[in-house]
Amino acid sequence: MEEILRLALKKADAADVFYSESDGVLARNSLDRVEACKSSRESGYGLRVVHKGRTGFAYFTRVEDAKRAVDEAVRTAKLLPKENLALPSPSRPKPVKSFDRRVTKVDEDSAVDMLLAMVNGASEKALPVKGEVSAGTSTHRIINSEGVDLESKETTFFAYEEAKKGKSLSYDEHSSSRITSTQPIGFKAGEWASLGNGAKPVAFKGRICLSVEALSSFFASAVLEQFNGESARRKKTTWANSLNKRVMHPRINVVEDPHIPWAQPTAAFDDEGRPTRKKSLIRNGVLKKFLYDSRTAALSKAKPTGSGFRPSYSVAPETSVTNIVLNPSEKCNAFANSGLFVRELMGFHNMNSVTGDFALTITLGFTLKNGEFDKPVRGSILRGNIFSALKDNPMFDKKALTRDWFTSPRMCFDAEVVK
Amino acid sequence: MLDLLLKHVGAPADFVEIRAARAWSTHISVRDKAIESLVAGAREGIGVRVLYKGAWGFAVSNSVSDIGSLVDRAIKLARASSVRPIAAKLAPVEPHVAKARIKPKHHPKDMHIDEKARRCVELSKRTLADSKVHASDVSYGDAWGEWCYANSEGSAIEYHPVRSVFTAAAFVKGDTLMRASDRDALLCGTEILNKKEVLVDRVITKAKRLLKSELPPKGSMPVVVDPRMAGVFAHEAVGHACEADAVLNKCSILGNRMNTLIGSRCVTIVDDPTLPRMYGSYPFDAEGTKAQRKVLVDKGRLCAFLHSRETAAKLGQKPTGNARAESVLAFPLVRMSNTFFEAGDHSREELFAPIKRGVYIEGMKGGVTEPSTGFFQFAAECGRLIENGELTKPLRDITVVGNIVDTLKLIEACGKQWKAGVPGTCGKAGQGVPVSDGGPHIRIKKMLVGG
Repeated sequence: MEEILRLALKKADAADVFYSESDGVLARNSLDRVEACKSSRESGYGLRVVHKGRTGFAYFTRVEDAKRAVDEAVRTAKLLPKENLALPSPSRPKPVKSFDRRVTKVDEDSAVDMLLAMVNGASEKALPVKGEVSAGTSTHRIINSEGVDLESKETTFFAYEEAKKGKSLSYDEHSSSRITSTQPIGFKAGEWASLGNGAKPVAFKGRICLSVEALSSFFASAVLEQFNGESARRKKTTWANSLNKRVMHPRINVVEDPHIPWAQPTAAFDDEGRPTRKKSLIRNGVLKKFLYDSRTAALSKAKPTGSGFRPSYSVAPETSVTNIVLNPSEKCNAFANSGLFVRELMGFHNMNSVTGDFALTITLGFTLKNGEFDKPVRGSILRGNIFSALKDNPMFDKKALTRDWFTSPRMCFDAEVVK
Repeated sequence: MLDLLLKHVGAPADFVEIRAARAWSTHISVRDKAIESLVAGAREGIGVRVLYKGAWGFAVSNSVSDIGSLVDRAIKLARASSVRPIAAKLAPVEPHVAKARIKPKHHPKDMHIDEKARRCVELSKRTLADSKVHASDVSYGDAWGEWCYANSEGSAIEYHPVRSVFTAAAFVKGDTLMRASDRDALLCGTEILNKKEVLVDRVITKAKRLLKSELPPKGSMPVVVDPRMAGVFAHEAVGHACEADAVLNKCSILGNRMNTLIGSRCVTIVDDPTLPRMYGSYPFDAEGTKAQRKVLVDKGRLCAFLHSRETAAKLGQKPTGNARAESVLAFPLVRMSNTFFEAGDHSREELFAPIKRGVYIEGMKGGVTEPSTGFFQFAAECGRLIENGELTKPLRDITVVGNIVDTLKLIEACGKQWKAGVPGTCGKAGQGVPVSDGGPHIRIKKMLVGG
């Protein structure tokens, strides 16, 4: 990598080289059978150059293509506007827990064993339909012309099962860098499918209790983009002019925490080599921070927030969030009264991510009576606006739950359901 | 590359297939008046799939030189799968030795990246020139390369695809912020950038109309959908439920309805990967089966499922050439290609005339369906209220929800004029493949409108 950087610096004023390598094994089921086992290996380089204040990018997979990539990156830089991107200086990021040695020992035989345990778990309550267990290791290294040289090694473990009972289909999943027992994941999928059996559409107006899974999908579909500093600069988001203004209810606090042990997005440094840190995004309902990578920070004359991540070596760093924690200052018992609990919704990619308007189909919900699930619900449309729901008077359950990158209690708000 | 593959397909297993590809691509993204990113890259990949005692093993790498070790690895993986195997068998197909090539008018490699970028900047500036537009996004992408397939039954195929995609989006601000977008994608070269002013102007008009639009009325009412939404309906509601892997997993509501009436007599739905230049077209699928046109629903009667060789063997039917994979690194899955309603015999006026109060749905934002229950939800960017057969108030963010079989039976009439829908990427099991759709205007007696 040092040689690639040296080649780049012959033609550019500054450069960084990112290397990523991943290795993994996967087993998947169809009904109660093993459908296939797969192994994969992928590696590649992303090269970024700064040439006369302009930034160019190229990627390649074979070291012998490095020279061509340098030429390509410099050539594309000449076409781009001046951004005066500043690459990070060396630092000592705080170590994080994201490597579980047990994951590295998962081979095809143990992946199949874990898959079958999950299938057996689902079979206790329903029909297992399809699922997978995967385990992998990835290595990332970033070096730059300022002297940054950082390497991280992470593990990933993912288990997912779908189960069916009658016409009811549900799922459960686990995603982290640590290995976990798979039988309960299958069991949970079967249990949800079983509880949803016989579900019917209902019409309802009143208190909706959203599961953490559903709330995380609202965040992924519309809310997270609001923290993107570049989208705000270009006035593409509803909160673009709302820094230090109230955008959520005063009882809501939202923190981005890249250091949560074993969470999948956890990282000590971003893919530009800048240390990550915990950031308060919403404090008492007030928007406190936008997020930036090096390039978007330069454009906005802001400071980079350690948020430059790459989905792959073939993509230049983009502003991205890691783990989100919603921590309300006031809590209630979400199931205390009657209402409608919504576990699963369908159609998030159809919602209006700019205005926050949504009309989503409930694929698994339950009417609540005396704090208990009463009747299963499916097929009704939940409509409303997520920004209004977070601002008006949302209530939060006492217990926080974590689903992958998102930690929050269940959220209750008033809305309408059409059948 | 094909010669290298053929050297390794004789490995000791019941069936061996190797796919390998080398691809070059360009992606240009313009934000407002400036290029935001410009990436040109090359990549390669190889995937070896073997069947051993009814169990699959699949080993992949992004380095073709790994071929030898991948074959051994795939056999080992198949052995691990054979603990409780799926008992896979393959329906027979004719081995093909073939070469196919997309011949674009202007090959992407012949246009300098500077020129591609310049055209995109021009089009983005055109969007921004409208005083109501305060931000615009324009992007262009192309990809071309070599795809090779060989298997232990004698197939040896080489295919040189070329694809291009153009998208434009405009952000307008009135009382609220609105976004409108459109896209074109074809098996073609840089000619996709020709006459794109028309698409850009359409986006601006649509965005400004959204500012004046209301959310639709809610409840059950008559609906007319335009060809773009008809295409989404054909793809999402019918096509996914016709995928034989869903049928085998007991996850399709159409699973036990073969040769029964599932829709009204005016409903004919087709999946056809052989249409020239369409984004979802291909000459051979990811198992080397020749692509073919299939009528899925003929005058309301369900008459075909979409198959891979494995699903065809299990259901005792013939492979249909619908095993597709996102790349050579991904499992082949049963997927659609270009899926559409056939045109009917009604004029546009005849479709709207009988409706006292209903909704006209234009364009598409997306759709999602649950083949197991038949539930679907589609979203359109815009539309209009229909009052006494006339189009009146503009509407936005229209969502319709329904059940496949109920809705197909409620289709009352299909228009004479057929149009292609919005090409895009269909997602399934974490893989995206290029697809396209289309149809005529369609009148549906009633649908649940959510807004």
